[in-house]
Amino acid sequence: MANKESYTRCLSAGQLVELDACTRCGECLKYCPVQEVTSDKSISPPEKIRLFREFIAGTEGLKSRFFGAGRIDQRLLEDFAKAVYECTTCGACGQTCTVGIFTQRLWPMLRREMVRRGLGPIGSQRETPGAVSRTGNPYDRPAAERFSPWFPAGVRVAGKAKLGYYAGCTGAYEAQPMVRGDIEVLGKIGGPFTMLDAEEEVCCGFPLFITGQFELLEELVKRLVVAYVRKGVETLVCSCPCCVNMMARDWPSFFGAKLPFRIRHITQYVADALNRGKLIINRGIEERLIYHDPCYLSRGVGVTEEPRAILRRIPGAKLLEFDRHGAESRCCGAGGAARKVFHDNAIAIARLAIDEARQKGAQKLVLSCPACYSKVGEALSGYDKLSGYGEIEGHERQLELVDIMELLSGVI
Amino acid sequence: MGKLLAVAAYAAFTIFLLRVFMHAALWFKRPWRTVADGSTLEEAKFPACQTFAAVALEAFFLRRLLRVNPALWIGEWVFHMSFVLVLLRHLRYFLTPVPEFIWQVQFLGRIAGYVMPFSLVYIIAVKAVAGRGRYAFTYNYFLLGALLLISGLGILMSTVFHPNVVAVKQYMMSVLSLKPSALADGATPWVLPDGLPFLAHFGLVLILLVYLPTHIFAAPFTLYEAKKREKTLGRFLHD
Repeated sequence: MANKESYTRCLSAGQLVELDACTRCGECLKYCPVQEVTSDKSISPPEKIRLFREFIAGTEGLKSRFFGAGRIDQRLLEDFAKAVYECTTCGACGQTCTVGIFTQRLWPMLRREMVRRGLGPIGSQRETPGAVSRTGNPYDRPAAERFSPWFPAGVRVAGKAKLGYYAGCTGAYEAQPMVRGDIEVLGKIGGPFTMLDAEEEVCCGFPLFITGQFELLEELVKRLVVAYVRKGVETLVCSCPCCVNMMARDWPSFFGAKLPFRIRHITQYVADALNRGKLIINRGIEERLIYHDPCYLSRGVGVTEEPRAILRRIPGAKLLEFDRHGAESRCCGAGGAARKVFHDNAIAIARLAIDEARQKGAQKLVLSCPACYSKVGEALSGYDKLSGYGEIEGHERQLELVDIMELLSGVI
Repeated sequence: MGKLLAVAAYAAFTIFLLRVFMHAALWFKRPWRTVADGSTLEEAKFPACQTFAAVALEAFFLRRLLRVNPALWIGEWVFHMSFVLVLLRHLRYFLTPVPEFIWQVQFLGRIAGYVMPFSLVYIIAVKAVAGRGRYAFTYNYFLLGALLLISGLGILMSTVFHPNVVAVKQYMMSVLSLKPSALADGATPWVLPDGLPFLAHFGLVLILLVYLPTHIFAAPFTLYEAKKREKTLGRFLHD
């Protein structure tokens, strides 16, 4: 595609206004996790906005109207594409933006424009559409292995039910203790719940959406929505914040209508069950817990209270907080599909969360996101071997990583 | 020279208007919402006046900045308030007859004129020192520098190099009216008031106009959208 072609085709008017609204105050840099570990200002949020504004000005600005569109330097475009894909899309920059730019949505749209121009996605992200088409999941793993390795024995899945459970690809293939915990807790609550078959439960579309690859989205969403409707689902529960975000915010758009069922994060459903007495906690934990808010759950769809309500109910458990928590939480490094390409950034960001959890004296770091679970787990496993971390040697044994449902399934 | 500066003023103003027009034209070419902007079917439904009031308060107090950087906020808030007062005070040069409220803000505007450069120096200091160079975007320093020079020259003109304010007004009315014959009897059109400070002050204002940051007209929209988003966030997963 010619570099002179419009750069605004993937953006809404609101997002164009957002680009114009950036004051370049730089306040967001203090909250950007990628900045924290790279200190590379060229990939900072205001710099990305400035560059993209230059691309627009170069092709559709005042000067280009009078003197013709200039050719944008290919190297600059490639650098921009790399910068926009290095972002974890955690949205912390938007949360702290002094003019309220919704960056958690802006970055994926800029990525989409890069895809349109053949400059994105990058690295292994390119393989996602093919993998999803072949196997129904972005990890290219066989559908037959989606549930069988971790699904707990003795829990019955109904053929049809008002409650549906979506495990999600990352949970099913990369964070199995988490989804096992989900099912065990749902089983204890006792009401009937249904699931799609392993071949039917395909990717929710989030990894494609977040990398700007929209081609398969409508088909995937329609397939899933129709399948859940056939199962009689009225409430669809999921533990993956990215899936939940995609379902609540974007499925209606790709489905083309309001969804015929409600979407709930599993912590909401379980907190409600605890309140109604359908689930009883009968064991305590004499430990200090610290809960990490996943970006797409807290900033994305506003679920911050329910996980804490669950943890507070566990007898003996002391709940600690990160300095930045709730809607202001810090990214764990796993978001935005950046972890697939910028692995070192992801590990370094995850270690910041581990550091803080340790400094606060937490014994368990409680997560509620499979991507966080997988990446923070990876960061934790190699923690002791790092140079400069000698003073906290034995760290892995001092801080345990646990998913909220995994934890809960052990005390009910 | 007076005519030359008037042409520069028209050019600066034309560029400013064209810039605004080009940006607005780009905005209006695109749908306000697109698929996948995450809010298409979850439009906020709450009283618009309530939102406007909340956004107006947010804009007036720069509340989002206060939340993330109180040290910078105080400087920015003082600067923005004093800037508005100084602008209002200057309207007496552009309006005939001068509305009563403009006369009423003259004293406050004069105080604000003295405060403004200090607020700018404070902002630069906070950005440069407290930010340890982290926020060093050249364009921002260019704007801050231009504003500092403009306000500094303003103070100089009100304390040391007093220009003939009648001549200033006559010149401004010449520029604004485009019809020197429309001026008051006896007035000489296109004659620049004496003194380099006025020339520099006015010239810098024209440069500022050309490089006026787009957030001035875009930020109110984004603040409004952000407020709506805050209010609807809980609706995605909570009935």
